[in-house]
Amino acid sequence: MNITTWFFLYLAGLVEAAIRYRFSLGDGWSAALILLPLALLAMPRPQQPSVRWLGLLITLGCSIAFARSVSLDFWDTERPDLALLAAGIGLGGWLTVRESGTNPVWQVAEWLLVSLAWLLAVWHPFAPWMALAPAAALALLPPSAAAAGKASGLSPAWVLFWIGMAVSKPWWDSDAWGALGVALWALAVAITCLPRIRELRLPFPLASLALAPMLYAWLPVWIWAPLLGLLSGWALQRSARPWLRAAGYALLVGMLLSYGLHSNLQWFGLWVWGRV
Amino acid sequence: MSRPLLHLLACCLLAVMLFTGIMLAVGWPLQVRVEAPRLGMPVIDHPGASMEVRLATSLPLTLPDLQLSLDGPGGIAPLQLTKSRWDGAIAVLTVSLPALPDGAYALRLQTPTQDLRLPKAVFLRSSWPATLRLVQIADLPPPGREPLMRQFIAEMRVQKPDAVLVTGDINYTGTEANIQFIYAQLAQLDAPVIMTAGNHERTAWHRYLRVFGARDHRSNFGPLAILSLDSAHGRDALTPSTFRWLQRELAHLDGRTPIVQVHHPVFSPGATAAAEAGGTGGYLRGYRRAFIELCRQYSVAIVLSGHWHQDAVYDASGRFRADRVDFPGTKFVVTTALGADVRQVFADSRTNNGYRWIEFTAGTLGAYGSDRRNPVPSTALGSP
Repeated sequence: MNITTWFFLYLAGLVEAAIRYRFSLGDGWSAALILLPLALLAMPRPQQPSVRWLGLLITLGCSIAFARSVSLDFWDTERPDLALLAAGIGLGGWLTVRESGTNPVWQVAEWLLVSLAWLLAVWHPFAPWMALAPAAALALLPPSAAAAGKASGLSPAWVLFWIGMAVSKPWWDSDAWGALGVALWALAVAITCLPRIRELRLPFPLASLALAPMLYAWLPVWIWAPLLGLLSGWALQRSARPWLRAAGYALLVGMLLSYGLHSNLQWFGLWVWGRV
Repeated sequence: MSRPLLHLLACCLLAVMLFTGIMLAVGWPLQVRVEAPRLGMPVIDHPGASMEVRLATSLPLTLPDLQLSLDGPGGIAPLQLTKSRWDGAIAVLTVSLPALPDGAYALRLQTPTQDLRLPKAVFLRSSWPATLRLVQIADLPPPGREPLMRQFIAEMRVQKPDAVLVTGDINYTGTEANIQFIYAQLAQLDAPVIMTAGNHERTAWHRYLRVFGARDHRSNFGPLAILSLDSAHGRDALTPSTFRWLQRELAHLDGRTPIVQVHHPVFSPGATAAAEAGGTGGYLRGYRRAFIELCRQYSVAIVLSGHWHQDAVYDASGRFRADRVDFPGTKFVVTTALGADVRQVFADSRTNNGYRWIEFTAGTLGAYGSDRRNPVPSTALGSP
């Protein structure tokens, strides 16, 4: 399992829930608990098998308990018990998931799972979080030493920043569109794991041009999501390590910035359409 | 079959099996939550009419065995299911309203593991008066000002409006105690309560969704179609999906007169804005021009707002109107706070805690202010 995949799933689910249920940094201890797993980005990852199995059990238990609690109700982000379960999903997953090489075959499975989970989010808002445990379980498969291609222009950090900016936007408007958009995006990433498509090289300036219009939430998802997925998939294929710290932080910054922009900061230039 | 492909299939199978297992663990035993109808988005119709019941379920596309009934002054009557479909995650059950006396009914839903009762969810009306009298309120009392809410309920129990429209900022502090207090008070009304969210609902959005329900919704009310829009998601704007929803509903009015309630006023206080305006002086931003054009195209009688804690009336050009009640086109009306602090967002109208009467005769808007010549002032609390 590639931790990029898993962490994207965790972050996207968190941002989705945050926007849907008005998660606030002012929620005190609850907010601190929910955000705690993000701090682990900076920590070295454990390698012992027993610790990783323990992590999987924690993720599994917490995701079932969390999703049961909120499946028919709505997430009260101020409740510390729910925040603890959310943090348990993140912490358990972090214990489980580690760098597993870049075996493209397994990456296809990982991204297909992400796509399936977000497709089901159209019906069940917490489906992406329910996919976190299966995603972590994939990390227990033996890693492959397949070599990654050398980067030839696309920068994973920049592309992940744009992903963060783009994927958290649709939720602002329509829950179903957001989930469908991420499902299509992940499907396109899965496609780039296929051997022949992996070989394609795309220069970064061209990718930037293609990404710029995606700042706007209400471009039809069936156009922007697959295109963004292809671009980000190609960028991920270029990285020598599956999870670059810089890329991870770029994704996080993009998501937080996007969330901030949609929380009424009203920065010029990002909310022009529709303001007539 | 090649080895990589076998690996891929095995990985996919493992992931899907685990995922399915977790979904089943979460969704079993099957439970449901009633999205609509409920207090805040009730059904108001005659016996024999069709009604849609919207249910969220714990397992996608799966419904438990369930029984629906109406419980009210005319007794308990089961609801016969005539049709069902899925709208995304929501099960939409079409039932026929039974032959019961007019009045307010609770919707009762029983499954093997649940017994839910939603008071004031359904109102049976076999006839409509020539003149319909609606009351609009907004910006309800925060904790510490509960007597204003009780006073309003007492006045309404005497005045007996045909419906009460609640245009946002219902739960000022976002606390559970406050929203339960407001719910308990509104549940005492004999009239249907039709509600839309304000910006304060977003401080505890999960509570609003749990107690009062969905974002954009439509309530057919005899000759009127009341369209409740959510403008208060953090950007003081209609979103693209809200705007498209409004377009669709206006295109299918079935001969009804449309009226709209949306928490944020459509027009800016403009040059007359006072220093206190601050956040309170906010107005609708996204889709404003297109919204005004839709109102003109479909002859929307009146657009009701709150948010400013002050009364105001504008015409479709954005001109403040304190001159006459019957100017042409849609009336864009802002109503003072029922119980929150009154404010002086701009200098052109006086301020009091109160509510607004709106009268329709045969689907045509008549009065909408406490002064027949000047439509701006609402009715002050305690004035009847």
